[in-house]
Amino acid sequence: MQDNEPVDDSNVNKYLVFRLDSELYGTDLLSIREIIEPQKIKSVPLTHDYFLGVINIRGEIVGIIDLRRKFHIPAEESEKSAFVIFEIPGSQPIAALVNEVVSVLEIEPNDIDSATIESHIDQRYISGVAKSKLGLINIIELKQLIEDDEIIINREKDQVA
Amino acid sequence: MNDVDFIGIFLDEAEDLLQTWESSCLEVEKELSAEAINELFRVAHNMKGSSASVGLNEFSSFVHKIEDTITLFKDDLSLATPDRIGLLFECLDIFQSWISGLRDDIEHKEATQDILDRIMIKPFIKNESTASFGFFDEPTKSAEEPDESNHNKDLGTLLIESGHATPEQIEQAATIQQRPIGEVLVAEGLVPKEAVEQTIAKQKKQQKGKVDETIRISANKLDELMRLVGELSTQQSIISHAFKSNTMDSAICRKAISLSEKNLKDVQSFALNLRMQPLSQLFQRMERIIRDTGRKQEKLLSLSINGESVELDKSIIEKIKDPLVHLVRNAVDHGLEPNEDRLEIGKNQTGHLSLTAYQEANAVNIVVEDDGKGMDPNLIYQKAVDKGLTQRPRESLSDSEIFKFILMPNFSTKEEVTDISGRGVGMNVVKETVDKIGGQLKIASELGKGTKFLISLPTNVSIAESILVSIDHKPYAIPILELKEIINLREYEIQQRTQKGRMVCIRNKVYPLVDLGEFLPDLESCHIPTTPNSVGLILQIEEEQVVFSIDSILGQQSVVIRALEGKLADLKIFAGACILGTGEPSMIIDMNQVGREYINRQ
Repeated sequence: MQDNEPVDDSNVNKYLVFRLDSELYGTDLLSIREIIEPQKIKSVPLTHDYFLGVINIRGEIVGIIDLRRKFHIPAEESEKSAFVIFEIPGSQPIAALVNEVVSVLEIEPNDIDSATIESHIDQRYISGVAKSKLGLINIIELKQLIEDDEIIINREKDQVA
Repeated sequence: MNDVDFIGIFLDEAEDLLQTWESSCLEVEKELSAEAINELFRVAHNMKGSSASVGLNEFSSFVHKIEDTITLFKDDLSLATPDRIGLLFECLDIFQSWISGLRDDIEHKEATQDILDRIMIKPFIKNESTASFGFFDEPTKSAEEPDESNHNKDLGTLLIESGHATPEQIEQAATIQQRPIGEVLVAEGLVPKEAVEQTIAKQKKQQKGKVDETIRISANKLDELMRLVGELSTQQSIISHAFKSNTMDSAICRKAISLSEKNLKDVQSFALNLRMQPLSQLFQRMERIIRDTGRKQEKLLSLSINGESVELDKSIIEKIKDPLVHLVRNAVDHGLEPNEDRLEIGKNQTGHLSLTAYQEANAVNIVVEDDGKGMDPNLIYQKAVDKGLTQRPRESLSDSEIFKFILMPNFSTKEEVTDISGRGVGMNVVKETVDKIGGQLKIASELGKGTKFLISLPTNVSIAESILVSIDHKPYAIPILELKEIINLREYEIQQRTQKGRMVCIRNKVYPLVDLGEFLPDLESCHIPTTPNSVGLILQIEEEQVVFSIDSILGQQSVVIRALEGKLADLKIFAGACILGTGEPSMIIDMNQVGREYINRQ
């Protein structure tokens, strides 16, 4: 995208910072289509528990995953939340449930420390930790993670049980 | 607009032209007439001009040569021998595959030398001139003024004639010449390699866009649609004005609401209508295939086609093409007896095939029928037993149940494999495709009299009259068409046969009773089959009828089916998703898939 179209420079290096439980996470702002208020979710059978189901966004049916469950963060039901919609090129968008959208920050690549972190998240998707005025932020490749993610339970494997 | 857009327009136009080409070829073959030849000439001429105008020079030059041949036919009809007309059909194949190739890759090319060698009429080859350079003079010039074009011989021909080179050498040189221009330029040291690579990369980027699929729509239909949308927006502004001025209850507002409902319905059916296309193109293609197959097999046949004006959704027409090709080929190849055999048993030597389409309430039926030898149920049964497909005794199976065996994978009764059909993989693929579209396939056959295949297809895929049901306290939509009957289970006796098999007796017939929820396991709240299921849905699964129980029916709604995309598309049990009146999304259960999974579990 960057190389053949004039890109609005103001969005490069910008990250959407959101909160899951008490931790802050950041992900590339350009991969995000919109952020919406939580709404009613229709669950879908035969899918993993972190796949909450589908929602209706202005007539478009979009799948939603719960990042807390995905990352094995204990979820408190009473917590407030927001839906972040990711644009996946060549496919339907996917929504992710987060506790709170905190802000949009500009983080220079130099400010991201690529030290490995002990976490439940697959190392492939963590680009590092950024220091910011809000505190430490885990920078994750959320779009990539969602794109690679298995939503549907492999029935051949599971049906044996 | 870029090149790709222009080529897209050309490809649509060319597809239309090829339709005409095909029908004219069929006509010429039946009865040689100057009009039909003129029509062919006109098509070739148009195609040549428009392909050249979008820069498809090689395509254009190929058409040009074909056009030259047709020009000769025009002048002397006797030149148009059946063999040569057959070649025009082959040209059609090349055009078609070339055009479909161009849709994916605008650099696509087809091999044309072989057909050109055969189609060019001898005295003409010498005069064949500048076409290979992609240069055009007046369309008919080279034919009408052969003398002049003699001066325009290409270099190869001149070299051969003057004895400087052998035809083989020229051929070889021509092959080298066909290397990409970039390579030649690099090899000759004319342009640095990097520059060529950069340019190629740039070129690829520009061409990346695939050519879009398009549908032709009459301008009248569009005008009508625009009018409806215009009315809708008027009504919408009345309603929003009423809302702002707090007069929602006024007569004018109520009228606008009810009118907008009606208009919206119209728009909806109109929009669906836009995708509907007549079957005539599809049938024309079948006619061609039947003709080709008959020729290859040296079988005399006549064909009657009915109902080509019946309309179907374009996507369904595209999907049904391959199964239909298979059925008509089978009908000619396996169905019809060889000519002599037909005479021997006292049948008309000419075999008869019919291809019929007719509309029913919610389905379109396509029937392929032949008056050939028919299928022998006993033979098929024996084969099914040999292959281990059934253990049931012959008496317990009806003929139509036995014919279903030919739809199973790897079933083929014809011992030898012909190049047309009989690889034993075909019929099950036909069935799978028909299933996938939500259609049904029925077979009837009488030994010695003929075979009949009936494909029943939904007219459109995007709107389905559905019942909304509750399973495990969750709403789902189920298209009504897929169901045979809906019953109140409380009124019937349910028997526990084995620990898992339950049966229900309805009107003195016993049906297996299955919990539909079992097919929709949910990890969070495991399915508990304790609810006193109150509603039963009777589903026809092949020859069997099975009752699926659900908790309750919530209502009825015609739902707009939205295909599941991306990862959710792998959930085959759902035909798609829809949005309920409450604004909530809901999954649509594909009962045919449930049926298949039910069979697999047995």
